[in-house]
Amino acid sequence: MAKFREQAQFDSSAQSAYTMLPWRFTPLDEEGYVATNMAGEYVTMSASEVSDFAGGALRPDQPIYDELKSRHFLIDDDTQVAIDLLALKIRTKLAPLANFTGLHIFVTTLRCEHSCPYCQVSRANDDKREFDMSEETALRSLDLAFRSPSPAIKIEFQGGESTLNMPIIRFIVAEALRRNETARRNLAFVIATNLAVLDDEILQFARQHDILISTSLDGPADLHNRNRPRPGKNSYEKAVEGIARARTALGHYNVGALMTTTAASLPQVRAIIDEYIRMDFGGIFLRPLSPYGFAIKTKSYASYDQKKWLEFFFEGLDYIIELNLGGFEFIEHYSAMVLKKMLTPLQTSYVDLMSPAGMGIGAVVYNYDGVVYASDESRMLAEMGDTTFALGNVHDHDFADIFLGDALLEPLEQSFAASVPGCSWCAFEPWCGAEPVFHHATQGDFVGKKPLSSFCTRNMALFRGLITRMEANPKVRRIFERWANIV
Amino acid sequence: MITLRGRLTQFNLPALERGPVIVRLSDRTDRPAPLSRLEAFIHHRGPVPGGFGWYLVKDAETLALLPEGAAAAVLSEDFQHLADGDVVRLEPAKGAIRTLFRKAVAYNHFLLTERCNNYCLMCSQPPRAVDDGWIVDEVLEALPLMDRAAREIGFTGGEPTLLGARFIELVQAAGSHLPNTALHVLSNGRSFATGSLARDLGAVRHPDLMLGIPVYADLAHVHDHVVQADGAFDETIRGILALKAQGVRVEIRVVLQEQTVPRLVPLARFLARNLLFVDHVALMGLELTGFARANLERIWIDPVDYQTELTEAVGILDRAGMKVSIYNSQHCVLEPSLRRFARRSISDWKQEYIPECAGCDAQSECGGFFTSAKFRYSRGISPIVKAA
Amino acid sequence: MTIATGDARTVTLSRAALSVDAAKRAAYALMARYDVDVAVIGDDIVCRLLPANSTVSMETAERDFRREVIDQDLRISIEERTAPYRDAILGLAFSRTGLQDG
Repeated sequence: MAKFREQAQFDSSAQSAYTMLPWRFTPLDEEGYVATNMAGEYVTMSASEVSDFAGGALRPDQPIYDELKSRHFLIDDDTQVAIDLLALKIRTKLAPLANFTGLHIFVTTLRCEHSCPYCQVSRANDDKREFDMSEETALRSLDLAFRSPSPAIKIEFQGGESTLNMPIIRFIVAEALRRNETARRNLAFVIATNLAVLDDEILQFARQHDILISTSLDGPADLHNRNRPRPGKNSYEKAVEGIARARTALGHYNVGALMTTTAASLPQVRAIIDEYIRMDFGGIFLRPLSPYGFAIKTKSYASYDQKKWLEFFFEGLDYIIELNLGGFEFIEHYSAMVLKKMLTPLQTSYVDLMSPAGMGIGAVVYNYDGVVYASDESRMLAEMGDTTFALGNVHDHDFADIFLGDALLEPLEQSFAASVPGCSWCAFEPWCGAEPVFHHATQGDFVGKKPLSSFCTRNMALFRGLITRMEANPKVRRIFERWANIV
Repeated sequence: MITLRGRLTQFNLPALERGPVIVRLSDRTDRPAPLSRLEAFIHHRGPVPGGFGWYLVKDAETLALLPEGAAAAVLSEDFQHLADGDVVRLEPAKGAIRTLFRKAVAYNHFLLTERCNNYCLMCSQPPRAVDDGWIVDEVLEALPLMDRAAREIGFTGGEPTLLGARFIELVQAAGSHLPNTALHVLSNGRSFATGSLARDLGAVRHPDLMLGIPVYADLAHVHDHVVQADGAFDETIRGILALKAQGVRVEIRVVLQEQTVPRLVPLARFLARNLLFVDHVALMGLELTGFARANLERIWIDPVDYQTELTEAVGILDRAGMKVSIYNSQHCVLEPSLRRFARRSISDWKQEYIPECAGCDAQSECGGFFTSAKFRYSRGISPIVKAA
Repeated sequence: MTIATGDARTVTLSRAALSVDAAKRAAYALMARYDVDVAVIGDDIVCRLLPANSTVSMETAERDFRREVIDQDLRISIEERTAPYRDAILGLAFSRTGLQDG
C-alpha cells in the first residue's frame, strides 16, 4: 500500500526564506495600504504587514503570506512559476500598444448651431465653408489613418456639429470603404452629433453603412439646456427626439450618449443618472470636469472643483451600486474601465488613462484644416493659442514626420509614468495614465508635479474609493467583477 | 453496471487454432466479402451469412447454423450487449474477450499506460510501474476499425505523455482515422513544460483536440500535496503555457475534495487572472475508486458543505467570461443557481441512481452517481419535486 | 502671503538610518502641503519645513514628514532588492522567442 505524504512535507516556507518580487505600496486610508505587483494585481495590507513583508520578517503562518504568494508578490523554494506568469501578464497588458492608433477623429466642420460655454472650438453656423474640411484634406487624412498598423480602425466624425458637413462624411465613408477592400481592417464609423439637425437622409445613410451615433445628454431638461444653449432653447428636446429616431433607424445599442460635467451638474448626479435610466441607457459615464478653457485661464481649477467632482462621482457611484444591489443592472462606465485594469489581465482603450500616454498612440485628430493633433484636448489647447501638441499638417507632412516626430515622441517619453517621480513609486501606477497635455496646460510641463496635479488627486481618490467599496462588501465586488468584464 | 471483461464459455476448435486478434463487429448480412473476411459477425437472430472471419453467437445451438470450419465463440450473458460497430479483442487461447470500442457509447476512452509521474491522493486509476507499451500497439491497431461517426474519444492513464513520441503518434493516428471525432486527453501537463513535446503536439494539428489538465490550488504546496509530487505545480503551469502558445486547447480540471475546497475561491481568482485564455474549467465531484476509496476519510467532504465556495468560485470564473462546468454532481446537492453549469458527465457504464432518487423530477437532467458512490453518499440526496 | 518664521520646522535624520534620496522623495511627495529644504550636514540630513501656502497648518508637519521618509526609505530598499527580478520579468515579457524553449 502506498505511503502518502502530508501537506507540510510539500511546504518549504517554514524552513527557507521567501524572496520578494517587485511591488509597490501606497496608503489606502488611515489604517492600511494598497500593494500592487508588476501586473497591477492588488492586495490590501496593514502597516505592520508592509514593514514585515519588506523586512523579510513575514511568517508563513500569517494568512497574508499565502495571499502574497498566490498573487505573485513573493516566491519561495516551492515555486518560481510566478516569474513566467508575471511576464505573460505584463506582455498581455502591453501587447495592444503594437497596434498603435485605432481611433481616428475627423473634424468635418467647426460650424455649429449650439453655443455651449464649455466648447472651445465651434464657430457660428453662418454657412461659410472656410471652416469645413475639404476633400483634399480628407484624402490626405485617410492616407495617414490607413498607415496605422492597427487591425481595427474606428473613424469618428466630430465638429462643431459634424453633420452640418454631411457631404464630407459621405465622401470619407465611401473612400474608407473603398480602401478597406484591400486594407481589410475591422472598420467602424461613429458620428458624434447633437442630433438637432438630424434628418431621415442622415439616418438612412448611417443605417446603410452600420454607422454608430454618439450624442450628448448632460442630464434632465433644464440642466441640459442650460449647458447647451441653442436658438429655440430646445437642445434637450431635440436630443431626446433624435435618440428615439436614431434608435428606431439604427438599433437600440447603436446609439450612445455621453454627458459633459459642468459646475451646474455637480449638485445633480442622481437626477442625471435617473435621466439616463429614463432614457433606457444601460449605463452612464460620469465624466471628469474638463479643465480646458475658462478653468485653465483662471487657474482656479485645481482643488475646489476637484473635491466637488469627487463628491459628485461617489454619490453617483453609490447610487448606481444601490440600484445594482437591488437587482437593476446599470453600469458606471468610468469605473468599469478602471476596474478592468484592476481586476483583469486585460487592457482598456480609454485614451485618458494610458501610460505611455494615449495621445497619438490611442487616438489622433485630423482637423478641418489638415492640422493633425495628438488628441481632442490638444486641439482645444490650440484654439486657446497653444499649439504644442499640433503634430503637423496632412498637406505638408508624412506619416514619419507626424508620428515619429518630436512633437509626439517627446511628451510620450517624458511623461511615461513608470519613470517619473511620484508615479514610479506609486502603487496605483499600473492602473493610471500619463497625461502630458493636461499637465502642460495646468503646470507648464509634460510631467507635472503630481502632488499638485488634480489628475493625480482625482485618480488616486477613484482607485481608493473603488477598493474600499469592494473590500467592504463582497456583493459590490461581484458587481465590479461583472463591470470589469464587459467588452 | 456493464461488464467489459469476462471469461467466455466456449471458443470452437477452428477458433482455438488462431491467435489473438482485434476485429470490428458487424451484424449485417450484406457486408462486402473483402471486409467481412476481416470482421466478426455478431448474431442476434435469423440467418447467418457466410464469408466472415469470425462468428460470435449467443448460445451453443446457433453454432450449428454456421458455415463449415468457421471460427466462433459463444458469448456469456455479460457480453450480450455487443453490437454492430463495436471493436473487440479475441484471445481464444485464454478464452477471453475484451471490448475496446462501443459504437453505442457517446464517449469511449482508452487507457494508454498505467505509469504516472504524479500520485494523486484520490486517483481513480492508481499508477503501476509496468512495462505496458503493448497498449499503444493495441490502440493503434484498433483506431482504424472504430466508427468514424463517433462524437468523442478519450486518452487517459496514468500519464499518457510519458509515452513521449508514441503519444504524438497516437494523437496523429486518432486525427487521421477519426477526423470528425473530438479527442479529449487527460494529462497532468508536466511533460510539456520543457522540450519540444508541446510544439510536436501543436504540429499534429488534430482537428478537435482538448487536453484536460488538473490544477488543484493557487498555491504550489497544496497542489503538490494533492498530487504527491514536489515541483508538480510549476511544471503543470509551464506545461499549460507551452500548450496554449502552440494553440492546443486546454481544460483545467479541479476535483472537489477536502484539500482543494479551502482554496477553491483563491484558485478561481488565480485562473481568471493568470490562465484566462484556457478553453474550459471543469469542477468535479469525487469518484470513489482506487486511491480515493483507500483515502476516503482523508479526502471526503460532503458536497452540501462546499456549496458556498463552489458558488463563489463558479461566479468568479463565469463573470470573467470563462466557460465553466460542474461534473459528477447531483442536482439535489447543488445550489439551485449552479444547476445550469452541471453536465451529465458519468459514462453510462459507471452511472446509477439510488432508491432515494425515486420520484425526483430532475432525473433526466441529473447525472446520477458513480457506482462507486455507494461508499459514501452526501447527506443531501433527496428528490427534487417541481411545484405542481 | 506672509509666512511667519515661527512656522518653520526642522527634522533631523541620521544618514546611518535613512537615505538622502528618501528625504528628497518625501519632500516631493508632500509638496502640496510643505516646502522642504533638504541639506546634508555631516552624518545628518537636516530638513527644513515651511507651509506651502497660507491654508496649511504645521501642527503635524514633523510627524507627516518623518513617516513619509520612512515609507520612501522602505520603497527604495524594496526597489533595490527586487531590481534583478524586475529586469528578468520585463526581459521575459519582451523576449521574441516566447516563454518556453522550443
